[in-house]
Amino acid sequence: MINDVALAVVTFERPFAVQRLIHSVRNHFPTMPIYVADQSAEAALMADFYSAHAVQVIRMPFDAGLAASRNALAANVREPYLFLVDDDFVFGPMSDPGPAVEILEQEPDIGVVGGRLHDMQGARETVRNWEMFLHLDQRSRTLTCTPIYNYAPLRRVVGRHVIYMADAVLNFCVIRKEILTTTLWDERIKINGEHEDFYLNLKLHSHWRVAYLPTMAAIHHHMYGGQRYEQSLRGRTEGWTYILSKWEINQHLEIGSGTREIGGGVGAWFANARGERRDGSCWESMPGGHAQETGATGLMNWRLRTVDEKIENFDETNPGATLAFLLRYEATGGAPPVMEFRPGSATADALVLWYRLGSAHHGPSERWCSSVSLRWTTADGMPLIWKSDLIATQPASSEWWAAACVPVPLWPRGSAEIRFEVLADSGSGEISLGRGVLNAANG
Amino acid sequence: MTQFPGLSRFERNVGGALSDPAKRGDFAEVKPYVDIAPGVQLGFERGNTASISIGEKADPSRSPETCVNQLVFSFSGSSRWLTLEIAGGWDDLDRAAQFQLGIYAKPSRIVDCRAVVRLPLGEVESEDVELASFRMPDGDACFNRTGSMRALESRRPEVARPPKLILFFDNRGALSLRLDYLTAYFA
Repeated sequence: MINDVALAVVTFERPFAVQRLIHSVRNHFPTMPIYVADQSAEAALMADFYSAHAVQVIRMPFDAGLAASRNALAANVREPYLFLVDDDFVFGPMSDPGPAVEILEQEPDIGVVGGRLHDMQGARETVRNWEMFLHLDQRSRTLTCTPIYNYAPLRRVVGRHVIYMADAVLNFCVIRKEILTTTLWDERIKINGEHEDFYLNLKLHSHWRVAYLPTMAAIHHHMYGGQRYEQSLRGRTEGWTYILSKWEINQHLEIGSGTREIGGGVGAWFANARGERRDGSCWESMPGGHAQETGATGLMNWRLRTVDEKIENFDETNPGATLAFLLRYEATGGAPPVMEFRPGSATADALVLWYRLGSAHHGPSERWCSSVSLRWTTADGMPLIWKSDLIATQPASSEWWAAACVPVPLWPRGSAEIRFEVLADSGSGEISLGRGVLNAANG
Repeated sequence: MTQFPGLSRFERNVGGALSDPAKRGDFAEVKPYVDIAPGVQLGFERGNTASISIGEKADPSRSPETCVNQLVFSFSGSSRWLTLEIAGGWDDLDRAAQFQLGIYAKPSRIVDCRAVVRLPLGEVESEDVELASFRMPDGDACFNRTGSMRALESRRPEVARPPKLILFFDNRGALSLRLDYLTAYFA
């Protein structure tokens, strides 16, 4: 059954994120087909990684947009079910799409089964709980998204699973490919708004139902991609403006978050900070909540005090196995790890650092090398950052390039270049893994 | 004496204490707002004393080779504030809108800190520009922050007093802090 569902992910200028996702998927679902629609400017460095992890790549034009990229996935995936996720998710054993596929096979009216996302921001964890009913009121020109938790639960028992009906779920869902023959994403939207638009279409122009399966879970951990990605690409608001106009809406109310309106700065909610009711408490207080229904999922005890602890505890059946690579650098052969570097894209505040193991040290034995940090200096050796925070490194290989997003220090006045050195703590001292130079032209 | 070529006068002043082997000495009592090294002072309410020592650094990885010392201060008195104050230069702050701050230290307890730049306005008055608030764990800590700050006007050469980088430490109890290294520059 796992081979009937294909992971379908769009990535854009965050190779470090999609690599982390794929590592986590392969760790738990080694044979699941994976399709990546990559709309990054530079994808050549990812080719070996994709190949080594059996990823089928759909190369998209730069900034083709989320909607066009998802449509490309829909057109290319050969399996009957798409497992749609974002590139900054992390999978664990509870991310298994098998139960969702069982539900889709047993309930012919259901087209989408969404799962539960745990948002991690620093040491803070919240359950997103963005499962909505959509109400389009053409007379009042309003769209209202009401969390399903504001209603008595519309539950169904499907075999051993309990699901809850909704109109829209997060982009962590298994979709029956058949529905994508009639409902697709609107390619005039690059980002923001495409999600609501898709589910409105599904509700108003199809017979397919949407369900929420809280026992299918994953982590959403936003990875900072630099100012260019965050502000110029991710933060664009044209999509919101477009869907308000397309659906002839003046106001878009998301209960618990606030209201967007035409001409009122559609990129921001006007009231109520996001997350007010997103801590899972509402769900757990519902009669017939899933913890009581399905039992022994461990989800209710799935709490963390720190990010590290969550990382270590995510895989409850194999503690420490899932996300350890976030904090550790994999070296081999017992020799000092050596990293090769390739120039990466850089913005004023972030650098994508590409690295791989030196081939001389590729071997079967492994040694964990923690505390990888960067030292930044001016060209003449003046320290800018003596020891950076740990960087999120991935399991490395000599066969493919891994990517990390590294904060760049404040560029000192009058400097044409700054330099960095990657350092690992060997336990008995620092080991230099490699050096690099950043020119002002890059920054 | 080993010169410490910092990017800014803030760094050169603190580097003066950390880079000169001749400054090493056992614990000595110091009064508030007295130089413990040129341009470097501890701030707390009068009537108290703190102790400082400058010794050979124990961990060579904690600072550049030119920093051969570590500075330890301890305060257990009663004061509404406790600060480490480092004088800088106006040129460093000229029309600056961003900062880079790095503090490499080992406090004896978890300590909440706040970093500000204090700009003298005249003989007595001054204004503070907030840089960052952060928490240091009770162990070897590296704090690095790149950030924006309220854009500063051009230099004020008519003001005799220098601007200062001030680190405020919470006053929840006795504190001993080993300072290994500090970077602070602006652009």
